[in-house]
Amino acid sequence: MNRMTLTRVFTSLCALLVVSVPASAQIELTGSYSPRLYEDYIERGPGSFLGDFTGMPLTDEGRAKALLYTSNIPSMVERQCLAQSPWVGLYRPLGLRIWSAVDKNGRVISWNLEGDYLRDTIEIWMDGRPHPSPNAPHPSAGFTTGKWEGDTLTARTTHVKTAWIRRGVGIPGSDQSTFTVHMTLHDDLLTIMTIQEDPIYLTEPHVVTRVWQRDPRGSQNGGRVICNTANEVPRLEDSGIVPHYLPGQNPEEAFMIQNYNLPRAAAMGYAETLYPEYRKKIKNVYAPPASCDRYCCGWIERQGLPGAAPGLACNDGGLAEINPFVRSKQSESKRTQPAPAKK
Amino acid sequence: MTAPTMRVRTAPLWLIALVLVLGGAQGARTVLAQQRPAADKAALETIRIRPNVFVIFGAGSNVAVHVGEDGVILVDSGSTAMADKLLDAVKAITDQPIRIIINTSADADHVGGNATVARAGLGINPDSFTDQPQATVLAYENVLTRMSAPSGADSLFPLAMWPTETFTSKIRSMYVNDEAIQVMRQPGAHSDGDTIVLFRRADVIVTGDILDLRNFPVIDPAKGGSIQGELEALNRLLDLVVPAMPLVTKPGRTLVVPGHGYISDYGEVVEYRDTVAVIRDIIQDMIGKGMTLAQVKAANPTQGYRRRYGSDSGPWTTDMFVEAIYNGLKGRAGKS
Repeated sequence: MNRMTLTRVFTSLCALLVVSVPASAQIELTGSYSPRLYEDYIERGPGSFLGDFTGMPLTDEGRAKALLYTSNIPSMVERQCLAQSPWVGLYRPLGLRIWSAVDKNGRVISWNLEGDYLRDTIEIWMDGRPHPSPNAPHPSAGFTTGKWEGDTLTARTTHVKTAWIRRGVGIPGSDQSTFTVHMTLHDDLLTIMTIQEDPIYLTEPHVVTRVWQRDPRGSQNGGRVICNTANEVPRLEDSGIVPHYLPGQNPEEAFMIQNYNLPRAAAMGYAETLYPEYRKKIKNVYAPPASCDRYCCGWIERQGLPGAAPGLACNDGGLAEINPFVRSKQSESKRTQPAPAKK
Repeated sequence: MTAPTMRVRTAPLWLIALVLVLGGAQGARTVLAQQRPAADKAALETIRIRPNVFVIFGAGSNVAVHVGEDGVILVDSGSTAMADKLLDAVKAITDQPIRIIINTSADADHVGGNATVARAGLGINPDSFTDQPQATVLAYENVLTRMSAPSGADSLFPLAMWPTETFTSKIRSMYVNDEAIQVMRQPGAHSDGDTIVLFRRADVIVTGDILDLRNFPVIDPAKGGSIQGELEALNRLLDLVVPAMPLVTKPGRTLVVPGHGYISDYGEVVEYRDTVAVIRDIIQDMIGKGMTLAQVKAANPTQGYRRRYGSDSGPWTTDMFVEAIYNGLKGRAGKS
């Protein structure tokens, strides 16, 4: 083997090894993103009804705490500015800005997801640092580390504060919660999946997936990190009174059952009801309500298209009359959709 | 001879290349692994929470350590069994002398190290009548009353562990280590000897067992504790703890060192206060309906919080907590 051959082999080997080092397998996530709101628009937009625990795998403890909740609780002076769950952004209709921090050698130390209202910026540490001791403080954003698994950034968040999973209806999450997060970019679509595990309030992992679209004007969050308290409920100011329902006295407990004919198990967040098998189980016993004024046909309804639930006429409470986008969509759909067959 | 010469010259080139390329990644992993703290389960854990404030975990109760030009101030001294290790942990932080130990209650896991740790220190006002200098042990007077006994009777704790200095006022203030320190009495909360300690410049509050993130608060009526006193203490604590506001995402905030559990801030205190207040209200409602203690326990008035803070075994069970609230509320109702 002569010197030239050795040099070629050496160069080839180096090139081969360099490109095969997994640490270099990073996707550039930096940018601004707009939310794609066709998913779960109820939670991310107008908000769920009180007493709506559908889609949640709650423990009896979680259900009990959620039923003690009143919407006066977030109005307490003590609670108005408390940090919310670091990943609550998946329940919000807000844009997202992502950037990286690099060390002096240009290596990514962290991926950062900008915070928004009462949600701190999440730093996903990529430099291999360990999670802190269980005795360490639980900062507003928790503590998150990440690694690339192929083209997916997988992160793990610990050290969170006790914070509602869905504040509007009081579904609780504890300070023992941990999150596994997968972030995957498909062209300009960013999918974020969070898997929350909570030994206190969840019987099984709670999985949420949302999509954002890359958009130079997408992040709308700047300047929303200021919070001042105000006296929203006079009797709560400086009193030490904690508003809540007593067990068995929450007037919203039966709302979803009475208004949507849902079985109690589905309305109250029993894990069994999350699975397709449950649909099959109740298929022949479930009867839609005779009338339904709101949230009956989901996003399809919002677009003015015919409803999805069999036997249920969509009625959005007059939304179509006031929303030009919906009105135009409805007109369009009337032109393009065949009339439903009369039975 | 040429070939051997080449081998000699080229073999290191191959090796260097392999080491550089393969070893680079491995080396990085090794360096990162070295940054992880060695797991030593026998050792206490020390966390620095401010430039001159540390918290030592695992000594019985949490022990706060304030270091400055005058020496070391400890809040609580842990259990007797862990006293030597606590002393080692303090020495690992600083070689300054321990000047003051402040006891937040008379509980054995808060005062157990008093004798050992104080003996290793030097009082802020050295006692000229003894040749055995020791750190000052400061507490609210009821702590001394609980730990000692009338002459001739057996005391719960040996003399060497008793506080050397007590106070009866609402607040005992001092300026040590260039720090304003206020020891504030919390009447009849966890016990009748509770204090919280505010380090004003450091902006750290040490709560003793008024805040115990492992459990529902230990409200010990036999030692003068009460549900009403506990809630008043938690509300007073909320008045003192400053949250991150209005710049809610900035790290600046008052830090809270609970008697047990992780370093906290305003958020944890609110959650804990709300927990206790809601359970108090539920039990009050049940009493109003004429339910007996057995009926109240059977109705599970702590549901919603029990899995986080409750326990069915150990020194402080959920039933004991419910009973303390029930009896406290019944007693108050009986007096009114």
